[in-house]
Amino acid sequence: MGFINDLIASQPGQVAAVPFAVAFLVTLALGLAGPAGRRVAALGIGAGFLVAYYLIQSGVPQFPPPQMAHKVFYLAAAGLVLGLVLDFAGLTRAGGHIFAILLPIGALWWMRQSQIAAGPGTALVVALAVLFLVSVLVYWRQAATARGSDSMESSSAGLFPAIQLLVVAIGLGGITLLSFSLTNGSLALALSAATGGYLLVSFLAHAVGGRALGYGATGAFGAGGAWLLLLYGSVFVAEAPLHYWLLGIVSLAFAADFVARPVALGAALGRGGVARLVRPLIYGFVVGIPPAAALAYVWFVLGWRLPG
Amino acid sequence: MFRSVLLAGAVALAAAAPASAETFKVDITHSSFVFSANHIGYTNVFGLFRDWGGEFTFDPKAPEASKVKIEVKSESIDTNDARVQANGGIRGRNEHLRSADFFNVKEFPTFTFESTKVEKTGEKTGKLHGNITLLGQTKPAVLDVTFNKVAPHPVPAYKGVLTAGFTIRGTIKRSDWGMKFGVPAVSDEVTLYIEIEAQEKK
Repeated sequence: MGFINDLIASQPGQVAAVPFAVAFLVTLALGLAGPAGRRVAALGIGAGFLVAYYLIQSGVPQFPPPQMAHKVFYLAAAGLVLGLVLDFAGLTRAGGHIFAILLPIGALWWMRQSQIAAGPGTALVVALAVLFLVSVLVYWRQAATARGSDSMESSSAGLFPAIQLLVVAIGLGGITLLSFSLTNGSLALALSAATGGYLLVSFLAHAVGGRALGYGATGAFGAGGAWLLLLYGSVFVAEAPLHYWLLGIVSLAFAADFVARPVALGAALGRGGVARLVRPLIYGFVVGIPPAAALAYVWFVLGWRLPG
Repeated sequence: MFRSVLLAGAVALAAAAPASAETFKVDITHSSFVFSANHIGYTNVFGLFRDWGGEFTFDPKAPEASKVKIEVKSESIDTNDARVQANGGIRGRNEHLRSADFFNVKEFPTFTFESTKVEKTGEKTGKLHGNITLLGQTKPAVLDVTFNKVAPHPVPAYKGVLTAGFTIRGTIKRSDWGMKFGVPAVSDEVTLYIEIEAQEKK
């Protein structure tokens, strides 16, 4: 028990091991729970993230939350619950279209409520508009990239939304960790670890059984939504124009999906086990280029390092 | 003669001390807002805020009726590490303290202390009860205050303005206001060392 307690109290534990383990176990349990469980398997990502948030921020924030960073917890939980409801109710598609518009509007308004009420300046209006458009792109690609995953030819696509999320969470985490917010960075890396836990189970299901676990609205709003909230928070506390550019480059991973998806699904690999293993890797490689480029730039060119 | 001097001194003092509560404004050039936090058990690292101010009402005959309001610009924090990431890759402690991990100066540019009660504990000492509003949260704090003196300022440039001096000490837990980053490696307890010199507002 001492080892477990030490792990939970340590930074690597909170940022990586615990969210990975929670997501893995929850996803595994749901994957074994029949069709209904498989449909909402992405709950594992949300659960891993929220547990990591609790550990990193030392508890559940008070309500109403006084700080923007604390609103992330409640908005992430709300997105997860919304996704679960839509998936269980069979309203993934219809509800997804509606809430892909409403959720960003509501979240951005709440996070900047006092600044909006005081009369937003041009910079804030532009930031809100850009973040709204990015959000629509994210939700669109999170849903569209999994299209056709119920067919043998495109079954790998079932993994694509989570792979998208994994690479952008690493990108966001790395950029903010090395620059203006260790907290946001830690939370984003925890989200990537949770996504990794989900992906491991889903990849195995796909590799062995030919079908990835469900991502659906639970994943899009509960996990993709959590990433968006961390992006919002990062943009609003970023300290230099360079930070905005870097976050924008990381976000290009969702646009890279337009290239990555046809490249991965079009690769002449046949339909067998090798194809099922390699296509997700090809997809991840291509969609990961923008975040990797941003991280390489700050590490090798700018020389950013963690403070001592 | 000695009695005449004593009488003259008493009259001067009576004339110098405020007849009732007067309002004083903090003289930032002769005041200090310093703090310390423990760093992994090795040292107590000191820092200060360079830009802050406030006013208080004070009557030495009725100190319990005093009211204090102090406002601090969080961005003015200085812990003797002004490295800037844009200049070389590593961000220094000042830059980190201003970030969302600690004072989050973009969202909360200032923090304040506003007194609610002054409790006299001795001839020149007391407990200053009040609320600290930091990171959007208002929580109570109690600080120890010592009244140093109040007298016309002797430096000619001040033209004899009534000047008061106080020493304030206290310890707060930053996590009470949601500033939890780094605890316990960087201590939760932060000790405050505040010296105030203030001139009467006319």
